[in-house]
Amino acid sequence: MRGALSCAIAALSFVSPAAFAATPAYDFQASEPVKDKPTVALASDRAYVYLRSAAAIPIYLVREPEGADLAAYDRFRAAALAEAREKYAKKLAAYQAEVKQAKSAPVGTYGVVPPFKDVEPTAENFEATPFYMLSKVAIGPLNRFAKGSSGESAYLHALKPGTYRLYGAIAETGNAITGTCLCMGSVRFTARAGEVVDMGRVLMDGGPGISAGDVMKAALTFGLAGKPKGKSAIDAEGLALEPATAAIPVDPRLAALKVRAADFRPSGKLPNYYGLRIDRLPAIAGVMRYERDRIVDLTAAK
Amino acid sequence: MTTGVGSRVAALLAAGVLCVASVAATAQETPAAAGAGTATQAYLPDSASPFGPVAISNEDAKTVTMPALAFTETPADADDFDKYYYFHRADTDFATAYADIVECDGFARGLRAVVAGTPTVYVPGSAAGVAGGIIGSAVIGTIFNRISASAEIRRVRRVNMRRCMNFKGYARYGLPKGLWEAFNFEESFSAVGAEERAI
Repeated sequence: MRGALSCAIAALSFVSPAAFAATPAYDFQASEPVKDKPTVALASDRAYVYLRSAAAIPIYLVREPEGADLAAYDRFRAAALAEAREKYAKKLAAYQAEVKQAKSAPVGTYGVVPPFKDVEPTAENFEATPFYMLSKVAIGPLNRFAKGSSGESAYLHALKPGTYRLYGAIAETGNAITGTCLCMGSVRFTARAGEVVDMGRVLMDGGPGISAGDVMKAALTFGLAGKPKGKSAIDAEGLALEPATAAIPVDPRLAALKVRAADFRPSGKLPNYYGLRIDRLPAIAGVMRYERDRIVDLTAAK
Repeated sequence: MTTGVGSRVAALLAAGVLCVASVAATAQETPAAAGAGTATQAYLPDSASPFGPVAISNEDAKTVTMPALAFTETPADADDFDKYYYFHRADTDFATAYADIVECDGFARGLRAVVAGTPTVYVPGSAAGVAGGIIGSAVIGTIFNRISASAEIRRVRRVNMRRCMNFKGYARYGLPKGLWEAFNFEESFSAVGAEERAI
């Protein structure tokens, strides 16, 4: 069982969306930034996410599967499995050759060790790249839609209509990915075709009155005797959301367009797909709160 | 190496959680973020572990041999309490604690290292000649980067374990390295496999 699991994990590490290339094209992401130009026109079949932050920021959203996604993902998985089985067949041939060589060598021959046989990938034990890694949308830190005089950055991003979850503050630099995932609790919202959904402000300092330094110190010192305790209650909740309200101005170029405040609902835990630091979004009044690590949905009362 | 329930229990200890009624008098801070309370609203269904349920019972606790925790704290010990520690939460049964530490371990494994601004270090005399010097410095830089990255992975694993267990309401207690090593492991580039995790 453990061997099968190890095999599945190994397969997960090496199967990429490229394995899907042989099947009919299906873009799980289909997103792009809207450029900083004097006017903005919305496509009727696209949804748009608008957010602000005090500085340039990298954000990952993931789209929840719906409709055609499920069949497309089945095809993706089947293609990835076929590729994994093809590789396994080659490895099996090499393994059998090594066994033959080991058996023919005199006992005690230096350098001849019993070969290790991989577990055969099957439909049951194979784990393809998770859907949420395929459907992620990376926003920022480049391609800002606006940069205010106060230094506040705004991003406007076109994407597929659907339901999205804020996955974390994650930056891609070349082949590297770094940042923090909100793996232990976040929010989801709906992005509708032909509309701009306003996520409000993304705060990188843990919220009002809490500095980034405090957050870092709390993460480092939590649980230690003789160290500052005042902020440790928040531990490392460094990324927060201030939902859109009438008090938060919207870029004038969007004034004539349909802009709707994000209908945030709580979203539960997800795996740490990229092997990053973990965190959770702080509680939002009227949306969610936590009882230890369990999430209480406050939207039902609305 | 242990097997069956014994191995799962060993994994629990290796991951650093103990469910004991009383603990050694060491560094302690109860996370204020805890507060179990009584749920008056529905919990979100996907508040549960994304790694699935853990099959273990409180009966399995009978097979656990608790590690030594008593010690006399020194300043040197306290300096390393961010590295060497175990978790404890009052009024928590064995099966719950085990499921919690397994979930947190799920968030803290398979990590990647990105060490921002890690310089490539040239060590004079590391290679003869100009070409050798360039190659030598590149090789040494790679080694140094790998060492830094390895330390970074170990550090982020600790961060993730601390955050996850803190969210779950566990307090953290420092230990001297010697006691900690008796029932823990560290993980870096080379993943600790399921079997080894269970030792």
